[in-house]
Amino acid sequence: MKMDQPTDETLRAEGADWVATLHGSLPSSPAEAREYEANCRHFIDWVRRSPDHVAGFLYADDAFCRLNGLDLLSHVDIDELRNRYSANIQEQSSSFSPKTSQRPRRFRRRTLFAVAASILLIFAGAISFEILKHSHEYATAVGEQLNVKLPDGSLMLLNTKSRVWFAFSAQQRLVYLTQGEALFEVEHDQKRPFIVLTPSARVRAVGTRFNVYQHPEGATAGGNSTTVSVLEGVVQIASQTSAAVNSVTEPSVPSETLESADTSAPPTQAPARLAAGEQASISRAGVTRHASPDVADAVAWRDRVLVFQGTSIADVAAEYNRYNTSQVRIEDTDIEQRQLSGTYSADRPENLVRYLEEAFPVAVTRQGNDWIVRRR
Amino acid sequence: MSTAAPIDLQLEAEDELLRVLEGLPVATQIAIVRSRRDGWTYEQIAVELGVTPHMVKHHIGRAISHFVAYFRQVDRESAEQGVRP
Repeated sequence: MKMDQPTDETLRAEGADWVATLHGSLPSSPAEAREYEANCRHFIDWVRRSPDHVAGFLYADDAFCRLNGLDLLSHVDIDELRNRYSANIQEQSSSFSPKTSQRPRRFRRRTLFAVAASILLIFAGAISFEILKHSHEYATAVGEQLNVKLPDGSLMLLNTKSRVWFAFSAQQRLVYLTQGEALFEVEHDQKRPFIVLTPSARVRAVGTRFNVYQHPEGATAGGNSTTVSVLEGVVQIASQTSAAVNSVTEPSVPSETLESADTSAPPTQAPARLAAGEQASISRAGVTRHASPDVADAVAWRDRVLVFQGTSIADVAAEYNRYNTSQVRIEDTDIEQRQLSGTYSADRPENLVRYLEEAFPVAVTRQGNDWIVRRR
Repeated sequence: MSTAAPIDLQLEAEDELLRVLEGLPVATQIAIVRSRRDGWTYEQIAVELGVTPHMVKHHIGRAISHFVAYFRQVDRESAEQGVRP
């Protein structure tokens, strides 16, 4: 055996650590998502080192599942354990200096796997070779769109400036949209729900067609929320908060919990069913249904078309800027608040600039490739 | 041969598993039971134990590692005896 070969015991401990790590909750903020993605990459690097590493992981995963499935732990007296645990703690704090034990704990709570975990990445051992074979990441540049056929036959059309990571297993099809927008045409598979996660929402489907848009942080319209538009079939949606986590994994949600179609209604934490022709925004605060949505407009981007209906000029410019490296910057709050309706080509920001020049008393200057629009 | 045999085996396995569990520190025992049996999240377990979720993850990893050793031994023994666990 080579000296640098890790011992059996090391691999056992490392494999167990990875199972414990991957079993933790899914990320619920962009920062956590980045850490989570980095973790997944580290895991794949680790497991690829040798067949022994793969075995180390699979043994740990197997043990984890056996503890779960056999229900052998049902006779454990948890109260007795808790009493012993609190007795231990008291003993420790009294045998060591009691004054220091009153000092507030200083360690920072790590939030990597914060918030409840019910949609598990490894759902009773779903993670296996399958996940390694089918774990991928796709990203698009500004203005780029990408058509991807997923391993299960589902289709994903990725819009401009977007990023997804997905892992398919025998139990579920998990897609993480960390940024941007995607249209999904999900292949029907009753046994494997198709779950789309964003930093603010969870969407669960079996076989359907729907669009998911994660609004960028700090956007004026729907900043840091997710808009889901359903074209065919039904999906379940819930906020990325601990209260609603469990519900998305459950097979069905009664439709009585639905919020009435009224945008003025406060967001609801309860998970909701969203049917064809319906649209909702999901933020950390909850789910808000849109009163009279036009879901066809929501997917006009497929044809690289932008559809505006009484949209503020600020949001119109932001929309153009998603698709083009040449940015339109409007430096006048009054003009930003004016509204615009119509259908425009996403690739032609110069048309917006021309419109603004004609409709308002503005002066347009070029700064590099960008347009700066100011009041004259 | 009797119909009771599978139940006996089950009870025996449970008994043994509890003994294996007792080989772990108390906090680690609570963490793995809460996670596997009760379906608690690391956050929830962290609150019960008064530690960080990160520490809970360490407990879970330690417990898994402990049980891997046990299950591998069980599997080796049953392979020798030609019995499925």
